[in-house]
Amino acid sequence: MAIELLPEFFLFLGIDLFIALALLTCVMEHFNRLISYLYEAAAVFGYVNMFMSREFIASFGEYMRFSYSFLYLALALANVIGINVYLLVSKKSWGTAKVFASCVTFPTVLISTFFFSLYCKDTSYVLTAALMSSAMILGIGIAFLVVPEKLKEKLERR
Amino acid sequence: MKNRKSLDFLALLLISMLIVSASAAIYYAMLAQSSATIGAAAVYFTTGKDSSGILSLGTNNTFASLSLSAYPNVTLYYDEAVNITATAAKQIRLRHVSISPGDGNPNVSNFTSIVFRLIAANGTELGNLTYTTATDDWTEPTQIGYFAIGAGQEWAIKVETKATAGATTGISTTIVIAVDVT
Repeated sequence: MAIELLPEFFLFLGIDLFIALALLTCVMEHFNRLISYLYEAAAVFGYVNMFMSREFIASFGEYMRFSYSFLYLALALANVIGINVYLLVSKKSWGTAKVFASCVTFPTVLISTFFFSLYCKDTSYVLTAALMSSAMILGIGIAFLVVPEKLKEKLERR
Repeated sequence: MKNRKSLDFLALLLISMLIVSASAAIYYAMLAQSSATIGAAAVYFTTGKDSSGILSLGTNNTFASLSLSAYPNVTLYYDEAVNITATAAKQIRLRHVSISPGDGNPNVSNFTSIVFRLIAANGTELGNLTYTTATDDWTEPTQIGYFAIGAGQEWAIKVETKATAGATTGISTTIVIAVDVT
């Protein structure tokens, strides 16, 4: 008998992604050592999230559990893509960016899409996922627009 | 510098392993949590050819009550006292639950035997629960083995009753039998 995926599977996937990012950023030369610990903290946050989900499983509906689990996975994916963009744009390290895209970014996006397609039982889940992804892209866009000039210059100088 | 990086990596790796195994344990625990959903019974009672006037079915046909007769020194047959219908392939058996009046009651001696036979759709007898008496005591059966019933099949429960010669009229017995489904 096939076991149905729980919404928390996306949380679990997100935790794995953050852990992979923590280890990768630790190994790579391009990042400050604090970044790795930040990703590790994000993974711990995911674990706490999962723990809370289990404790309140009776009061949280499946739709709500899916929403925060998917949001966490989307955040992890955004970080993977963000690191790829950072390597490409800020560090101008084309080779590393290409390797990162083919070995990390593309497989993670593919795996996440695969499990999302397995889980999706309803159109409402697809719409929620689309809404959250759009909101996140919008948020990132706004953050880039309002970034202070001094920080912009600093980034460009790098 | 290199040493610090190695130490960082080792620390991160250890924390990562801890987080991943703890998360996997929680996820597994959540998977193992059971849930119960109400559905229609896959095996239920239906009326048979001889059910008229003797059978009353409970709500959703998951309970059946039979009011059978028994005559002195003669065996009375109910070929299809009640039928069992399956909507999905299942395994079923008959199991004795209780009988009253119990052992030691003088009324018991008025009965000779009461037999419940499980008859498959092709007419084959698969097993039976036979209640016989020895003076004031019942000789009770336990259960029969499980038999596979196919989806859409209708099996019968055949009942045979017999009272002793010169039995007192108006004496009754109540037998509770369970149909176990797996």
